[in-house]
Amino acid sequence: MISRRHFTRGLGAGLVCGVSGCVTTQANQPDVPPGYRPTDADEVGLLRVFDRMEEKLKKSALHLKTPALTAYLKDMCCRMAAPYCPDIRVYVVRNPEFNASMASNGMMQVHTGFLLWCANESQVAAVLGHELGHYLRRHSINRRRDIVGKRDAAAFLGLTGLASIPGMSEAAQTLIFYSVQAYSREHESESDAVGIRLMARGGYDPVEAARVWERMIAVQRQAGNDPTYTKQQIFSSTHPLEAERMGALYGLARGLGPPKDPPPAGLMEHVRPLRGMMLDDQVKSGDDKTTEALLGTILRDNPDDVGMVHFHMGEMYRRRQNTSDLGLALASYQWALASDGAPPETHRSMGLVLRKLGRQGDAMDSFRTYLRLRPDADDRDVVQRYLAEG
Amino acid sequence: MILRMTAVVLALLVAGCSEYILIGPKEMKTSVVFSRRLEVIPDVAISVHPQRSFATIEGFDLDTLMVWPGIRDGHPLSPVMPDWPEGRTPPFKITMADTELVEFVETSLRGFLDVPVTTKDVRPTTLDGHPGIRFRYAYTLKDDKGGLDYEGIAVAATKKGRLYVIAYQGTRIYHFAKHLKAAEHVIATAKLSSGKGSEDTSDEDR
Repeated sequence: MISRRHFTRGLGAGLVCGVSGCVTTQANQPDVPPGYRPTDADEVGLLRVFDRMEEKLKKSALHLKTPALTAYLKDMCCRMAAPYCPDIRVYVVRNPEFNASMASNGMMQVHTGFLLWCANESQVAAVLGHELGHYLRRHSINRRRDIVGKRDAAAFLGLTGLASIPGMSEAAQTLIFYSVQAYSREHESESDAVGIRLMARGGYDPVEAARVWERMIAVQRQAGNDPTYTKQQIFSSTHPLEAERMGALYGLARGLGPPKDPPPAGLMEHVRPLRGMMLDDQVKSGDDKTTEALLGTILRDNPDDVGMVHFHMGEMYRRRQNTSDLGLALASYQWALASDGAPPETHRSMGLVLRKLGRQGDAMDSFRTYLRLRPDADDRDVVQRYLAEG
Repeated sequence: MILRMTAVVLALLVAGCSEYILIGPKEMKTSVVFSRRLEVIPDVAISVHPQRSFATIEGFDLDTLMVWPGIRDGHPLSPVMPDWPEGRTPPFKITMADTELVEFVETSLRGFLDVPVTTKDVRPTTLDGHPGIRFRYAYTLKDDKGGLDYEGIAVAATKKGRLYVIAYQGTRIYHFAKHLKAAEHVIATAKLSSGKGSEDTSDEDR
């Protein structure tokens, strides 16, 4: 037997789904053709919004004008989706968060934080391919139409007076929210599937698409964060579970098989000029547990610039300002100096730690070395004051 | 009924106006404004936020003077949100070296602005005769927060185990340079006090 409350909720849900279902079906369209410019008023409007955003982004100081890295990322997109190459514009954005995005006007934003997290070029290609998937499937406009359609359905309930039935309005609103989020998760899964095929076509190793998530889950677990959602979050999240994505991508990768030739491997060469800044931003995010786990993973997986990574590990320990971390900081700086890629600032930071440990003589030596290696140091006067204080 | 509603509306309007305190040039010491631990004498009219930590000449989004008078050891520069990671706005430690004070202010600003903050021109200085540090900083707000570029200067010094920070910032394109002289005057007139007679609470520290 069904109660009246359940019946009215069911009726509301059915009506909302019925109307929004039509919208969704109508919005499901094939890939955009190369050089696509929309004619529908809503899509034209959306593109204008993105065009304005792009104009602002071009002038923003957060947009890093790095021609070599930008060209490299653009080339990766062209490898995967050659016919669309002229339509894609890549922007490297200074942001420590793991993220990339692509708007339906062809504007792709790649966060520096995301580049730091990736172990190789195939992993970068996996995320760029995913973003291209959103673009090719026109997810921006479809999602907008989905929301508008569901909002219209809710308005329809209000007009017909059905919303005044007890429980109807709340049920409809809840259902619309979960439906919109589910639609978003559907898009993410679809983009994963499109992206992995694109990366395989571009000569990348599809299995790396799954390893991106495996790496992220491992780092989060090591940092003590739970990479799974609660039951409620499973329905309210815009993205599928990371573990779920990883599993699905491993399945797809098995179907596609490994690349015939070794995949391109130019990531380190191209991000090297920005690596210090990227590591610095990660350390300054203040999320020490994630930073420690991530830097540990980078040290294990990437043999490049080990000195620079050890330096930033030391910075993380030193900045905590705990006496118990001074030894860890000092050890990291010593590792850094014994490896390639340690910046001159390692000596300054080591001097600060040694001073706190009461090793004044060693500290002064470190400060002198810093000033010798960095004669134009921005903080030269302050370090000279340290030397004068003894 | 109409009379009662009018009275309510007027009361709300008056309450709204009382949010900001206008202080004319050399009219009064601003110790009242920036807590009993830091006095400054502006030479231009400024509007002071009732929380007594912020002041502006033209508007808070355009130019802002920020004062943190007497942060105690173990306390952060700004309030910490519950969902932020522990190190996002780190606590001040009395053991911090001058260059670490720069990092402390920079990280704190970065923490509550949620954008990278760059620093430069780090120099030794004094604040009311106390050895301290001075530096310039810059940041760009995210697009959804207006995307404006800001520049700023900050001066920090410690006295009797407490940290005193004065920072001035403005839009890079216009306001920073326009009011820099007034900000420098404020910094030059700063008087640090131990806050005797005031309640020693965290709120007061802000």
